[in-house]
Amino acid sequence: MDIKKELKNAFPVPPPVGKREFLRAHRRRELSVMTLILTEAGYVRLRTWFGSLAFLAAMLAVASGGEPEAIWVVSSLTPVLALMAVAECGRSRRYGTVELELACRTPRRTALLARMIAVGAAHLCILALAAPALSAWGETGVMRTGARLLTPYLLTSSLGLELTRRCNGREGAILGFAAAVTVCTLGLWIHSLWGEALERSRLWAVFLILALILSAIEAVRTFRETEVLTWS
Amino acid sequence: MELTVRGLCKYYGDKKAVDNVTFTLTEGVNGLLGANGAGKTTLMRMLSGVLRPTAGTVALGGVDVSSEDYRAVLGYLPQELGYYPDFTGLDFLMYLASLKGLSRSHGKRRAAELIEFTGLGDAGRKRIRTYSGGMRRRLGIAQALINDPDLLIVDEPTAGLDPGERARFRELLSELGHHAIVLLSTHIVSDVEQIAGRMLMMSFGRVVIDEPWDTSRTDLEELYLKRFGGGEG
Repeated sequence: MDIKKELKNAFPVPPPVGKREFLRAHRRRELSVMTLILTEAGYVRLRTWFGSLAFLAAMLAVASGGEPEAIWVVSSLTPVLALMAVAECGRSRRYGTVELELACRTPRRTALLARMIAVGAAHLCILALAAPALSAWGETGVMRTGARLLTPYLLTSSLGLELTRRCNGREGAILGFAAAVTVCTLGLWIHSLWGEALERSRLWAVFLILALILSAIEAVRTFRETEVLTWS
Repeated sequence: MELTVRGLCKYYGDKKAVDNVTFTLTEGVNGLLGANGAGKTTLMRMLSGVLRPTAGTVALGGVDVSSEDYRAVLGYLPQELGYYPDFTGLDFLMYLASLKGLSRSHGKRRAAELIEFTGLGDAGRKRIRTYSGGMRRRLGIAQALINDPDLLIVDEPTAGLDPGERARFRELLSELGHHAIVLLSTHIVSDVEQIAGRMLMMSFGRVVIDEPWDTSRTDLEELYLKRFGGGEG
């Protein structure tokens, strides 16, 4: 005999007392930035996390070969990692949940920023782990290695954000993928043409700064557009 | 508490989607009727803070639509419900509960309550991509209620629901109307006829009828057809 079920059947459920007051009190909970980041991280798709970890494993595997070219191979793969971040940030637009999220108490801009920080920070950790490994097994310094990994990542993120903002759904995903492939190819092409010259110069720092500026511009433009629904 | 709308306009170039709309709503169910293209959805979006008006103000108990305090007490069900197909119904509700500022434990409890209430039951643990249209609609209704709103804005809430579900949802709205402002936009006259205490009708972006409604009246359809029979396409 299920006593709970029997009790439920025997006695009517009493009406809630002070439920609305209780709910009102809970509704005023203040949300800290960290809470929001952790919440968003919890709802990032598992395939994004697993894909990122698989990427780290692949980078370390390539680096462990000790080939001098390894850094170029790995840096031309970082756009794939960036693509995962862009896809995660453009998730609301892709699945049409923007309207719902805009009507929530947490401003959509803040929620998007929290999601970008969650994914971006994880990716930064991955690149930060890969850079010393690549540097140790190769011949390039840690800073220069880090810049080479980060520059294509930031370039792809910026391009991806711009493209997914202009084109929604499948079209945006295809264009984002095309942007990643373009940056991959560009990296390998630059290496084949001016690889040695770049090794000796400080151009990597210039490229990194440009990529950082571009990313900042794109991030600001993305946030501006999240204020209200772009709809006609 | 009152929802005050003053001189609300939304223009797209020369087109006036919503044109100088002014009204005040109090607690209870308020019906919003109008033909396709009358501006109902645009109006609902502005009242939900989702779309910025060209001009005019919206305030709930003096709190402006753009503020966090307004959104904290708002429940909104858009006409087209977006969803994350990989999420389960419960995940989706929990996610929106967190964006609405509910604590994890409170959100979890409320999500479970609403999953049961909307009749989703075990489907709450299944991915949304496996849901039928009616189940998604019920999930949409559940998310609109998750923060126990003081202002509930629902756009075509019963589209895709079977007659039994529609009747249940009408009862629910009627019950919510005792302590919240409910604005219900629909094409289905019978959805509002029996429960709305106030009726607003829109035509070409303007509110052309705004008057108390006696729920014992049964001539709303006639009135509606007389006014909008040809549509505004």
